[in-house]
Amino acid sequence: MMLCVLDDTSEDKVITRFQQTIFGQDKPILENQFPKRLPLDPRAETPIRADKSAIAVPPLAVAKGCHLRGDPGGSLIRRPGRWKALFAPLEPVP
Amino acid sequence: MTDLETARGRWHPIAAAHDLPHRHVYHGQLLGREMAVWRADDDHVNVWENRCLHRGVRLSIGVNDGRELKCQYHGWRYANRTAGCTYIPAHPADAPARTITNRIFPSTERWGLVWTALEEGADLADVDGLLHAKPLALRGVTVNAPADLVLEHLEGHRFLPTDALACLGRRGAVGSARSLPDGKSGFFRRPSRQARRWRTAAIFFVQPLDSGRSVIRGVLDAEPSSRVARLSALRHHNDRLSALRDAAERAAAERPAPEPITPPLRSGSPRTRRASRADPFGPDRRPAGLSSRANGGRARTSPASSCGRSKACCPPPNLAPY
Repeated sequence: MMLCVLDDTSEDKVITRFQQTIFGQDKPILENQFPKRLPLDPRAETPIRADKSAIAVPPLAVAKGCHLRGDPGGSLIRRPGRWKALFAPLEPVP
Repeated sequence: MTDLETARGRWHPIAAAHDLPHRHVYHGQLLGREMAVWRADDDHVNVWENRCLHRGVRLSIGVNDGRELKCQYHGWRYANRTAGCTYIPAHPADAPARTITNRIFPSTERWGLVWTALEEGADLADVDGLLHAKPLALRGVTVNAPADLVLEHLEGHRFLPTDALACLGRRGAVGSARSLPDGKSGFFRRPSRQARRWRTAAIFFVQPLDSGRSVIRGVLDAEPSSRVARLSALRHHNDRLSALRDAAERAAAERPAPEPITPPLRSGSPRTRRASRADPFGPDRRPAGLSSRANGGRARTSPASSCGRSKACCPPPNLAPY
């Protein structure tokens, strides 16, 4: 799996390896999160100050109608993993 | 028929004592609810809801360091016995609020099994025949069948006494079985004339994992004398229970599948839930942007200056990848 990365300096192999590292670290976490989809009830989880961006998602999802029919606590949103890390610049190749 | 509703108030085995080796976290399940079972270094067995309060990651993949359980995701630490959060690495200088406490279930260890109950209630009752024994817990056998069906099949369960197995397979007598009405089944082998000197009492407890799955946890009344006898007893019971499992699963396949139990998704322990529902951070450490109920379900993402609180309450957001 490859995400689109704008990076002129690193080789494809390096980018692939970096992404596989990230996905490989995230996979066991995402597979063990419960519920599988992001809960929209703000009381279902305990966000802290560092989660400011994450707690902005559920109200947006409610506003966009992304909740499951018959289950207002469940959403159609997948758990994000660390996709943000994939957009961080890579270490320059020595 | 075992009523799963009344089963909530009773004690059930959730693991064998040998499932909890040094600093291991065991993934248990009872009535549709997942539990993280771990033994601390002071020998206390913790049975907790299997979710980190922060992001819902299973605590059974966490790290047991002997005194605390550390979540694998963001490293939140939960204390032995109380399950209170002791350390949040994202905020190393702040002590976590006391309301951040995971849900704990009562636990006790008896007859080589770990017991728990979903609701606080009466103490675990003693079972005749196991009172003064040094018991041997068998391997838990998971069956894809409802607990009441497994109990029905256990009615006719037969096995050989341990000492007869050691005597090169000399045939012991089969015993009659007796079922206790409270969902715990007691099975006592009664030796016949020619095998009177061999006597093994076994009790089989049925742990309902979910409405359609259960685990048979058997306990023999006495640890066999030798290693060979122990091994042959374990093998024999494994064979017999595997045959019983196949029969029960065949019978269960003919029935309609029962509705799975979906426990409500709630965060925290019942004691602190009321407080955490009102304010998960306590009055003095509530971050900006968390007042989703107060302003119409929309989180505030305003900068820290508009918060109107002290600088310590609202530091500039650090949104680096975790």
